[in-house]
Amino acid sequence: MPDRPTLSLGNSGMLASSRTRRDMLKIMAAGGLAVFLPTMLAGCSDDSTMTGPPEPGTGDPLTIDFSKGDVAILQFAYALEQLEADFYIRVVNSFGSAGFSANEQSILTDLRNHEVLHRELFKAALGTANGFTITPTYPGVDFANRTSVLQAARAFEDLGVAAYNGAAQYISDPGTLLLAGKIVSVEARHASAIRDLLEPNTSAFAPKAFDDAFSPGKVAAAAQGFVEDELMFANAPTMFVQGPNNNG
Amino acid sequence: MQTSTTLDVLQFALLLEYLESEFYNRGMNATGLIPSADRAVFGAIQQHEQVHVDTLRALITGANATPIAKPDFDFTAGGALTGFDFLPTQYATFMALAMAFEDTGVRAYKGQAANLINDKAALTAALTIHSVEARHASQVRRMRGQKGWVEGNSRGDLPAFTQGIYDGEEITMQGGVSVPGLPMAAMFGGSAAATEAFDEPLTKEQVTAIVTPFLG
Repeated sequence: MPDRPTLSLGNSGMLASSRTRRDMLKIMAAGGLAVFLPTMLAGCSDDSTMTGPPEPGTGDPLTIDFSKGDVAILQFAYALEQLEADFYIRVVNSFGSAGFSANEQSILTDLRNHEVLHRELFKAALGTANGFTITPTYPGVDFANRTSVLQAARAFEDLGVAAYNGAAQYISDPGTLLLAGKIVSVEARHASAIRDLLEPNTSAFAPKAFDDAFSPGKVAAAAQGFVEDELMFANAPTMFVQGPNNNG
Repeated sequence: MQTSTTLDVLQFALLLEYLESEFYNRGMNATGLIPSADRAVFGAIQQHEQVHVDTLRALITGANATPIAKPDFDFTAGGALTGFDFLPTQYATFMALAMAFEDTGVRAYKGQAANLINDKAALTAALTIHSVEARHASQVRRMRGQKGWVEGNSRGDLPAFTQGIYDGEEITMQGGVSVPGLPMAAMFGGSAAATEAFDEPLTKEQVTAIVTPFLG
């Protein structure tokens, strides 16, 4: 497997230098730091010929152009929803071998339905001009293994929550922002349920007082591990306002 | 700079977080109310709500304003839950109120997001609370034998006075598109899934109407 450069926010800087230190400390308690983002999404330069299942990021480039404004945010969400929908379709189709209880099958079927509907709504909203189809791939996921499936589901749902929470700041239209809000809380409900299946009756369903908010680049780097297409950004945002966890 | 709009939202959110925080503090402190198997869950929620209160107060203070004072709360909802006082026999009512408060919180924050569209720091902070409230709601609902998500405008087995928390959740038009009318919808849960897959907002006025019975 080729080495993939990882995104770093190490060149982050603070804005609003006129604020007093005391003000800054108050703000840091709730996030709000504006940081510079890397100018390029980590790309995959490996073109080696390989046999076997497709490696993530080795397919054709799939570029999201942020100069399209809210359309780009919808495209970004569409890519994630395609991944989630495809994942749960495979999960439900593998019920015969993974050993899920009836209750778990009911939950996972609901999640499949919700994600397909999210995907189809974005597909309809974007139309043929701005639509595209990603090719998911699931290295390391064993669809015949309950724990493997639930751990992957946890990763996808948590990533979805952090992705919407972090992308909201780039949305200009209040209606689009509201639509993202309508979806993100359902993703959080999913994340909670999956986490409780893995660690019942613990604090795992909501491990932190604030959820994460990830920059689009951080989300794309994580999602790239499950997408054959090479995810690319054009005209990507240069700044990101951190959430309270300061880890986006 | 925070605008007065942001401050309004923060003060409004603080009222809701005071309500939740006080509720879970009293629940966790009540002898014999929460079974030991469930204390990890409610302890986590209690801690989160306290952090939310502290953070909102810090943001309001940081904007050179004064946080609203914590009201005296009436957890009988003005007598709708006669005799409720966090007693050992009242865990079912405690759980029902927890579901009601969490589902309200999700819709309340969602309804305010657009008011923060020009204040990225406040928007992002509010959204990272919003989704945690949704995690809480899912967990409490599931502990009560309900699905973690809201189907139609169903309040489940909650008392009738909570119906305002769920009214409007039944809509199926999203962004001008009929979700049940989408090409794949019939094979993937139809109208029921279409309502579950999208949580709906509440206005400040709707939330105020829901919360008012709890203000002593």
